[in-house]
Amino acid sequence: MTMEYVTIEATLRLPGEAQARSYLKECSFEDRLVGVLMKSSGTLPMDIYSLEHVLSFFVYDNSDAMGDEGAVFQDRKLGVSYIAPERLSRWITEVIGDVELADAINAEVAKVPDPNIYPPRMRVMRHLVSTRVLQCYEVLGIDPATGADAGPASGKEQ
Amino acid sequence: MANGYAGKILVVDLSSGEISSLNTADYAEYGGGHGVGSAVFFDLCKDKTIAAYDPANVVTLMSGPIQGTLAPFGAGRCEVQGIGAQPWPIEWFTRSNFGGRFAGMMKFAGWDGIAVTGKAENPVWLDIRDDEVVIRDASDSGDKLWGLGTYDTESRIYDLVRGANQVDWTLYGGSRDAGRMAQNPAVVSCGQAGENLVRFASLIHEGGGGAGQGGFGAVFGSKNLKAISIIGTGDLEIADPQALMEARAWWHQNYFDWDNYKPTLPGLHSYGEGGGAGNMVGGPLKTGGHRPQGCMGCSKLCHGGRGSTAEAMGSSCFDSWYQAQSGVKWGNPAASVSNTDLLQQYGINAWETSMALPWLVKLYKTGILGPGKTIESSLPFDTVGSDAFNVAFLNCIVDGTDIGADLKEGCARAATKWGRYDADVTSGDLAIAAHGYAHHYDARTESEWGFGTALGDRDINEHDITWVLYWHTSLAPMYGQPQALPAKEMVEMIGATLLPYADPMMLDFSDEGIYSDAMVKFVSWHRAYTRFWKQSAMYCDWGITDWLNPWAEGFKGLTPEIEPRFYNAVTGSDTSFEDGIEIGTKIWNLDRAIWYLQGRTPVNDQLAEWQFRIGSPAAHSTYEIPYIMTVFENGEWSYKDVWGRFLDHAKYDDFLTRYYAFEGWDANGCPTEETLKNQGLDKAAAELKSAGKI
Repeated sequence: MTMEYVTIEATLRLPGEAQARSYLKECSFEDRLVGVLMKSSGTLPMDIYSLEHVLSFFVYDNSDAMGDEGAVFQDRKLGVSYIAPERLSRWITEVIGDVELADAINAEVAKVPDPNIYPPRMRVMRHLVSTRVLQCYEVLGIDPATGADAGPASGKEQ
Repeated sequence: MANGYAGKILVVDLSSGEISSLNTADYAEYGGGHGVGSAVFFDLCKDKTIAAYDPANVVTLMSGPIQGTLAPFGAGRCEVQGIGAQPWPIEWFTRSNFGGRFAGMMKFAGWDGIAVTGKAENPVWLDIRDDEVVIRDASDSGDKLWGLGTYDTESRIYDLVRGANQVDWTLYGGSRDAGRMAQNPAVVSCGQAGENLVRFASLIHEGGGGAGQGGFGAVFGSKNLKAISIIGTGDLEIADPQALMEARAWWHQNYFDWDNYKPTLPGLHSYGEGGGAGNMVGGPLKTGGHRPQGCMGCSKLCHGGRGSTAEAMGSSCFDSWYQAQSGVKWGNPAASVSNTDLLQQYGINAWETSMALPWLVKLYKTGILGPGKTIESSLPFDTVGSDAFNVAFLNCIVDGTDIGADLKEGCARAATKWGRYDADVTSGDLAIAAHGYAHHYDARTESEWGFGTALGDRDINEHDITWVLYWHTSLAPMYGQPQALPAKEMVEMIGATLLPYADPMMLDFSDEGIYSDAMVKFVSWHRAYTRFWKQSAMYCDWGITDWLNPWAEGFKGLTPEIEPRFYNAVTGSDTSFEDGIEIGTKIWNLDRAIWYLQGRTPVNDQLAEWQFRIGSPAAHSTYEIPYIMTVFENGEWSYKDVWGRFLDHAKYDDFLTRYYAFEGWDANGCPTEETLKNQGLDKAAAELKSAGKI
């Protein structure tokens, strides 16, 4: 068993403004996605309401740093932010309504040679969701660093 | 007695003020800890049907022979028993356990255990200095302990014991040869939650040592007992000091590679590890690292504190995880570590509150709970995750205000009162597993945990199998690491230690395996193993069982050799590992007899309904993650993700029927007269017969 990453080839088309706003919306409580943060001290189910929340959730994951044994192991900072890719893509399709993103996740995850190993699949999800969120920011003129909406004047499509 | 025992058990009647003692030798057949506690409870609590807050309830705090010695992972453990306030719907005779210095200090003072009965008229605390036992006034007109948090209580008791003539450290006792002690007294206390009868109130010892489950903080509160302080100047006589030193050297050589922390297999943690390695506080928050702090004689030092902030000192595992639960989960990674301190000061069990919050948030988000809603509450749920919310939430529980008036009774009772129990426990939104206790590890996947919980009195909280056959096996592929061993080799290695059976089929967690006769055997074995070796001999749950050791050749751990080796060196007995299983079975039967005297029926062996209906709720109760365990399918062993399945009522009921028969219990699950007498439990048999139970 080896950790093999895949080169992510999928590209996402820049969404329109209405699409971008829709993709960044928070869903209702009933429609939320539950991810599980795994640590050796316990697991923590976490509610996810938006694509931005998906990225916030992945911040706690360092499973792909496992190769750096010393740093990771010594400090007991092992952490996995687990969402089954198929659950994420279904939620993105059904709740967020971004079929293109969901399809891209499915296609890229399918390339991972060993379906039991999580880090390469997490990296695919994180990369593609991040790409989409940044696209939405760009379209809506939101500063990625601050989350502040710079207003219509800064939007490229205005 | 040169066998590790102090020789006597202190008995305090708070109603009469009478102080007496029992001879430990009369109970030594049970080993120590839980076994002795059960037997003492059986003798002293004449009416087992009483409620937890009845003055006649008996609370025992027990050590055993290896506490206070050099036995690794055992020196500091203390077993707490009595009728608990937390279990539901019947307040079971139950147990909890905490580490630290209390058990060892108790023995240095000359006591193997303490049994408290009765109820003081006004708040009191027990001041034990060797054989001098004084019931002191804890009220405002006395020592002013009532109303304090647990940390503040300990600090004040330190001052009281030091007395007016000492400065800022303790020196108790006379000359060197007459015995003296420079450590602080060991104190266990309830916080305001216990005083106010919060049913999931803990007992806290030092920073984060705590008897969390059972509600013994509330039982202390019901007795007007704020704290027990003990300081001793004596020592212990053990049977074979040389054998003990040799055992310690053997353990040091074989348990952990002290010179090379890096294990053979990256990502594989051993059960105990060494020298400050056991940082279980590695939550997602910035904690400032931890300093070495642990229980008496322990190498693991898992009670890490927050070095840079001095907050939550000594808190570990889930009590420290509470801050994450209260912050990170709700989108506030900056949640203060002081959330944990508040929890510990109040003396609240983190596990219950962590089950409550997601459930309450759902009720709030779905318009059932809130201002003007069916369940009226003005708690600021729109700011859940903030420190301000957490303070308001814990305050309402402790003060019994807002929804806290119901929540202080525990989630099961609150849900029942609100008319939500059936719906929310069927949906899994309220993640009760059994006996009113929160879901922990999963009955649907891991039978020894779930079924063992149902057959007992509480969430078993025994992490041996779950660590090696769930955590390691599930995390390895998550990190892209190989399994430590092929599945067949793994179950054969562990299975060989399941003495006297030595049957690897007991570790088959397949869809059929969890109901099999081999699993009947394993659940029975596991109840007996933990009852004796973990809860009576009292090796720490996080130190031993050593089943999979990353520093050992072939990963083979020290179980089953380590358990009897230290025990025998201290006691001078020739107790084999299998003997321990036999004694554990006897203790398990004694507990079961007590539960039947309390009114148990087979209904109480059931698990909450959602575990029979739901494989993957989008709620808070299940692990929506791979649950990779060993399975035997189509004639082969393999690792398999068993997440997603749920239990079958008919198969579970059939499992119970076969389990009862295996244990020598009748069709209602009660130990038969013959079974009890064969184990020397004649008194239990007579009392059950007298009560018409058998």
